Amino acid sequence: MKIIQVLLLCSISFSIFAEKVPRQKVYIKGLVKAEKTYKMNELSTLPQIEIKIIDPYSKNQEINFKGVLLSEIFRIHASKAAKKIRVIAINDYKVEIPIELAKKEKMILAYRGDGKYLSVSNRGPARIVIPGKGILDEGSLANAGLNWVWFVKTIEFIK
Amino acid sequence: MSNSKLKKYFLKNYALSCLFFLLLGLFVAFVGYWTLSLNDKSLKRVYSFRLFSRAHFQVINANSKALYLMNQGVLLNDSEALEEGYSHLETSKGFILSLNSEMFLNDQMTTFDKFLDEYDDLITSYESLLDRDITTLDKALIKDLSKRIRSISKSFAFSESDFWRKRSSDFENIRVRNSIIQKVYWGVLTFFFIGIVVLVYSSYERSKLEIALEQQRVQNVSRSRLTALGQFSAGVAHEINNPLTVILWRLKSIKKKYEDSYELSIFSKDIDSIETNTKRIDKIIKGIKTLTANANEDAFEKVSVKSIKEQLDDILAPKVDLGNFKYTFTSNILDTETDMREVQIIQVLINLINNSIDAIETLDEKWIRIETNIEANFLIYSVTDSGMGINKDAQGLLFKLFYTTKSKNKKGTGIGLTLASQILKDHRGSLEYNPESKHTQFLIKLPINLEQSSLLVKASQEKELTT
Repeated sequence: MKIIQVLLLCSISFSIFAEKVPRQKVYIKGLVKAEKTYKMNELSTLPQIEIKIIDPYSKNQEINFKGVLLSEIFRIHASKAAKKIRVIAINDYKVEIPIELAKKEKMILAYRGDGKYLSVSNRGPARIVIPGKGILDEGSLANAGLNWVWFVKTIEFIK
Repeated sequence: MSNSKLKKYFLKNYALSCLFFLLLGLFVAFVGYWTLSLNDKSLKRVYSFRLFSRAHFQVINANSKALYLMNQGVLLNDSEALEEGYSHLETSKGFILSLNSEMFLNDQMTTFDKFLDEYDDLITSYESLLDRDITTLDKALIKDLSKRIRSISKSFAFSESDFWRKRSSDFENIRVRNSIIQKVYWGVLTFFFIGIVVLVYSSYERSKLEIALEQQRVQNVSRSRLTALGQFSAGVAHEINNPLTVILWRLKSIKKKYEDSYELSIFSKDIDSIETNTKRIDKIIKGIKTLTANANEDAFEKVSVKSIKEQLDDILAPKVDLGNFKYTFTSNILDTETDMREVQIIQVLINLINNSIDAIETLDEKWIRIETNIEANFLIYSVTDSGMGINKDAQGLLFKLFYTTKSKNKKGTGIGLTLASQILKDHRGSLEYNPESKHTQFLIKLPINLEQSSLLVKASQEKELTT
């Protein structure tokens, strides 16, 4: 009986200290081999990349982002007819990124930052980040920040 | 105007121009820097204003979607809709937090702190509805959530309108500054235009002064040359004239003493020859005096063609007698008179004839011919020699100071024709080379009536000024 009590206590403790996975999901749609919905913790099943990037939307703090290259998501899910990636945020903001550009710029669908799941305060739980841009001032960010999509909800492959 | 005064005038003009452009440059640099720095600030402010407003509307939009999806989820017992509503509510909080990235708007963030706490509470309450069936007991919670979400949306709508009311002064400042920049732009443009006008005017004045300076140089050169030559010749003439007077006086005395005597009849031919040649020497001396005199200050007098002819004949006689060339002076208007400084016109003619003598020296056929005619109130002396003209390249440079085609042996100075041309301009006439003539020919044009010509010139100048 004691053993059962100890095990029950341990499982409760574990659930208290376990990392909370954001509820939001990422939907893969459009010209795909098969539609797919990823919970945030399921994104870790895809090929991962971890890189330090200066985040212009967090007062230029350097954050260690973890996520999946857009080009990898394209490779895994897109059908042959697809040429572009349409990234749609939960507020319906959307951009269309040619696959060549996504590859060249090494655009990442990030879902973790500095070891934690990204929260809405980090423009998460899923967002697009682009490495190698350095510090972007406010003036240039208006244009350069167009592809840094926050609150990503859907990734759609199109012609 | 003396050279030193001219130098000072030019220096003053250049210094003023340089100062003007230096001040203009400094002004443009200052205004440019001011404009650029203000524009940079304006750019950042307007960008921040845009993000601020956008974030407000995103919050209101996300709240509306969350409300709609929550009610739909409860009504239809749709867990997916409920979950999406939750996502929108979280995103709404995310947009409030995004304002944090706008450093310029940091002072506004205290307003949002209370909303962040309320959002945490709202999200926790909303999350309690997820992953289970909704019961009637939840209706009160849903009603409360709806009320609170609407209240937040309303607060954000007020906040946004209040923000833009405050920003109106910022936009007014930008508008006023833009108006100042426009005025400065037109001011600079006007200054620049005035600067160009001043420069063009200075250049015009400068060219006028340069012409005056050139004329002054010609006059200075000729004056010094003539002064030196005149002093020398006057000295020589004086020295020769004295013994010549004695010779003539002695001859007269001999002739008087031995009047009607036999001795005189024996030597009369020799005495006449001595008298003739002595008088000739006297004439030559007078000729030299004429050629070397500085006649700039002489008065204009009426002089006939005949008088000019006689003087030239006397002066040229020694050279003509050598038989190196044939000289003729032909005129059928010997009595025609013109206003002139006689000495200067003789100097011009002799200068042209001397040039001709040098030019035809190596030719087989050697002649110099002076002819006269009247053309449109001008008396024209044409000086023609047996040469075949002057080549076209040299024609344009003939009257330029220090230009000469003579060899060093001939000691050409390049002064004679320039000086001659200047003398004729002073006579309201002209000295021209005639390119139409088969042989080398120069034309001296003198107004027959100088007074009338002066009036015509004056009238022409006044007409030019009027137009």
